[in-house]
Amino acid sequence: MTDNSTLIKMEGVKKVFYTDEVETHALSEIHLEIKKGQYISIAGPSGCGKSTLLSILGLLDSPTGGEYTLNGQPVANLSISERTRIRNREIGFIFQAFNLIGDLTVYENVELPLTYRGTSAAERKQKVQHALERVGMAHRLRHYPSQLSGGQQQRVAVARALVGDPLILMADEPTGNLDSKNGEAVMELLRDLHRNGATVCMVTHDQRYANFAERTIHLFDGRIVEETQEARVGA
Amino acid sequence: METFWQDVRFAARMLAKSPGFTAVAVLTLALGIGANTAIFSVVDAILLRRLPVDAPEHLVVIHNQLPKVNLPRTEISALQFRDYADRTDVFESAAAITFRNYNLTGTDQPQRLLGMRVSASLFPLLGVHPVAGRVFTAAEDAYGAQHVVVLSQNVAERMYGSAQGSIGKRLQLDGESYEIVGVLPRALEVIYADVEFWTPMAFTPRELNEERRWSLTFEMLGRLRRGVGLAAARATMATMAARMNGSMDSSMGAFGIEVRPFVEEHVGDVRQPLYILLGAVSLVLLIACANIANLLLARGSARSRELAIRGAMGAARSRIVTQLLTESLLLAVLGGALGLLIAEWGCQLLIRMAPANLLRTAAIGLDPAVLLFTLAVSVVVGVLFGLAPALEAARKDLAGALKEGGRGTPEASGRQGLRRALVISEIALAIVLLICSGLLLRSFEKLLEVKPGFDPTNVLTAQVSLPRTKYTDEAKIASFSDALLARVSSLPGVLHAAMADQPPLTPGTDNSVFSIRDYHPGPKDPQPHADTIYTTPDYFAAMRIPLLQGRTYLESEMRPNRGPIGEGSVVVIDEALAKIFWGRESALGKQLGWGDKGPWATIVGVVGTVRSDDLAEESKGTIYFPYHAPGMTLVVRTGSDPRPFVAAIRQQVQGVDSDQPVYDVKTMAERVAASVERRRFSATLLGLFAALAFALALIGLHGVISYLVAQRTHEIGVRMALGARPVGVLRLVLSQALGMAAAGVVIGLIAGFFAARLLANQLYGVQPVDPATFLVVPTLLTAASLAASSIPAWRATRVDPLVALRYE
Ligand SMILES: Nc1ncnc2c1ncn2[C@@H]1O[C@H](COP(=O)(O)OP(=O)(O)OP(=O)(O)O)[C@@H](O)[C@H]1O
Ligand SMILES: [Mg+2]
Repeated sequence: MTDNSTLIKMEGVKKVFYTDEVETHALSEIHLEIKKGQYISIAGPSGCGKSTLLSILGLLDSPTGGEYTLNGQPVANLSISERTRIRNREIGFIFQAFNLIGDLTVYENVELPLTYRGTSAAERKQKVQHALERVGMAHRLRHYPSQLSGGQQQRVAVARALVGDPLILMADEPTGNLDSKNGEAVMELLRDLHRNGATVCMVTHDQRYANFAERTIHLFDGRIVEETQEARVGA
Repeated sequence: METFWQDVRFAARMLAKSPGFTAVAVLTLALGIGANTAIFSVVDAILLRRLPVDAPEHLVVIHNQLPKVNLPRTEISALQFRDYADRTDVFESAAAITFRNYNLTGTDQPQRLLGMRVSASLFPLLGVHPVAGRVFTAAEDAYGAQHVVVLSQNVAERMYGSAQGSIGKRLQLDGESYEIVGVLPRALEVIYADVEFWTPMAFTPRELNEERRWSLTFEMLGRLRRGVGLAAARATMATMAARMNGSMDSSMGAFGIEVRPFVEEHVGDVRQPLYILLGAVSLVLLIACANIANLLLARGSARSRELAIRGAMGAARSRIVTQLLTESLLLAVLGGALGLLIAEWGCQLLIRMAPANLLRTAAIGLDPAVLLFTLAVSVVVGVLFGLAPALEAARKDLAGALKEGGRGTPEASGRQGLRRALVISEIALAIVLLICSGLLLRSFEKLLEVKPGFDPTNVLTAQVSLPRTKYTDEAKIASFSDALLARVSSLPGVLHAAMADQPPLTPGTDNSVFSIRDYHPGPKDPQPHADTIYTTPDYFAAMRIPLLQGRTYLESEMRPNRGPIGEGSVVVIDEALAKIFWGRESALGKQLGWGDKGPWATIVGVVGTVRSDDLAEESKGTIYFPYHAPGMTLVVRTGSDPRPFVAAIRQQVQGVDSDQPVYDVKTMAERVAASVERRRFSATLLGLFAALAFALALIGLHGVISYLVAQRTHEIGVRMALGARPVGVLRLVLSQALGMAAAGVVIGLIAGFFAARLLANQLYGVQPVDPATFLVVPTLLTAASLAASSIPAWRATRVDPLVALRYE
């Protein structure tokens, strides 16, 4: 079900952090092309730039050099409000640390992306309900994140990422804080989303989970050093 | 709209979640907004609210100006009124008024009523309609036809139960019968406070006599003709004054006619003090805002993660700012609501604290205009303290804030700068307020130190006004006075008793032009002028006014029948007058009179100068005449507290004339206190606001230092683990606090220097740049800053390196 159009294209992307006269070259010379509907994982040792790459891909951060084209549009030309809009409509995020808002209920956390897009209340209610059913958390609407287990929190975070039907899912070590049983459940959800047409970019250390992806990009010291294509034989 | 309610709900939840912060913020705001609302309601009632008359902007008051004889603004005479009112090209209508008190008899107790004689045209001119009956007709405003009276609503209700019930009843005023024809609305109190009744002006033939052209006793009110502006009216009257100048005795100097807006006349002298208070109280609110902005900044950094998540989910920056502003607006509205309660209570307090004639009659309260003001202030304040933290919070590096462990890292230096700037401005504003209130307090203190020239302790004063209708000549007045003084002097405990028409600090002044024998002022010299007082001989002893040269006058020198000056008459003058005209030469034996041709009175004594109008004002010369006037104040010196003598003295007056009321009974000490009441009021309020500002600024400083210490707990722990000593840590923290205090003090002193100049004309006996104030205030604030920051500094020295490092 993957069509062959290019969704993401990076040419010579760099990211340099300047802190107190020290330059950190977090990313250098990244060339990357991701087609619509692909499932890729990003791997590499700690500090190699995985999170940085994902932040740039997800428009949370901007490159300091090179060209990043998203859906045919050069990202550098986008205004702040257009970037915000794209983040809201086209991208879903899942973080290693869940990043749920502690002062909002499960329902409100999942609802968040929809409220920023001006969806009507009735439609929001239906979509949130549906998203929470998909992750098996529909029975905990009124709970606050602190009243949930880590695995449950991450399932809520997944529901939040998929509630707006994003084109791309960005997941930064989504299983990092979970035991293997909960981790597998989350991976299963991601695979489901991918089967329904979503493009997934996932950072993971865990080789088992990297195998879920069609492609794995290996980063070392801010550069892509290797790429493996999975023969799609299933897990 | 929906997102708005969502934001409000969330904001409410956030506020409920940190009750400590919410309570502090709401209370601070409530104090600030409440104080502002209270002062604003006074300003609104006195300065902004329309007077209860038609189109007050077209009403003017006409005064004469005789600057050369120190009369920059005087009343006018009856003849002048006729001339001025004739200018129908300027005035659509005009009215003359003058205060006149009457003795009311035929009731259980004789009473003194405060009344006014007014032209029949006054009420139509003001646009005031009676609540019962009618006002005067033009026919009643004529000599001989004036025996009708209009009552105030208060008096009508007090005496007859209702306004309607009083119509047609008759009153004995100064022994003559008047018919009550109407009752005026209570609203008129705002303009004519305490006036109990009105009678027709009905100029007497005597008042219209050409000889009395310069008898300046009437106030003129005019309504400008449509299309005639203030400038045009002033020009016309100036031409008229110039024409009069040509035909006038030049010794009086240049003569002018002032056209003064009615509103200005009524509120002119309280405007500046009120605006000063309003300015001061808004500075307090600004400081409160800065404090809350700082609290919000601290919260903002604690919430940076939440906001970053929202950003990652696609919340636009404006959306996040709106959400945070909703929170601060909710805070502000809560503060405003509580502030209204504080204001309601503050208004009551203000009214009670205020000098007698300042606030009592104005309708001060929380009316729609005030509520609107409070709402507007709350919203502005909410935006003011919320915007900077909201913008700051929305300007976030998303990727960084989303990382775990973002907590505990020192905050961005830009934000720290903002927090410091806020505290520095708080301190600066507090310094400005402290300087202003310090100056006012010092003025007040100086004023209390002023020697008034008499001894106010153990002196009782009471007014006794003999009606002309009964006391038709001076001999009758004299015999009343003699009889009364004889009775009062014989009361055990009374040391001296005297009569005087204008003792110090009683209402009104009497300033007259006079001539000195063989002295001819040049064209540039002022015509001699002085305050005149008619007294009985014992007055100087009763008031303990010291005799400096010569002697005071004797009982045998009283002039019961032939005017204050005549062949062989004597006067006493004060030192101020002696200095002006005779310098080092002795004034004794010199002669003065009303005109160049005599008769002359001889100066037999010089007494000490007395401050008679206001303790802050030096006398410009006074002449004492041994003479009786019908309006007299009884002055009694007693050997002990004079208050217990009041009943006995009333009894003695009734003993002489049972129809004669005694009123305005006060000790001299009370009069002195009352004369400085307005200054006391301003100084107290400003002092209160300055104290509030001081406390808020210190709380702000304490908060920021505590926050910095909390932020640096880890750093301090590491330093101590590596061997830093507590003293070093203490120095580290205190030097930060001192840095901020010093910056605030310097800015505050510069701003205070300019603020003090605005205050200059409210000061007495101190320079705007008063060294003591400009030294004490910064020292005090610096010391207090050190004290306020020493608590968190001390806490920093107690950091346990192990505990601090474990948080890593
Ligand atoms: N805000 C920042 N300022 C300065 N340097 C940064 C910043 N963010 C990341 N870096 C640096 O960039 C490099 C890449 O960081 P990144 O977070 O992308 O690593 P990572 O591959 O995600 O590591 P991990 O597996 O430990 O999460 C690191 O050397 C890091 O020190
Ligand atoms: Mg990472």
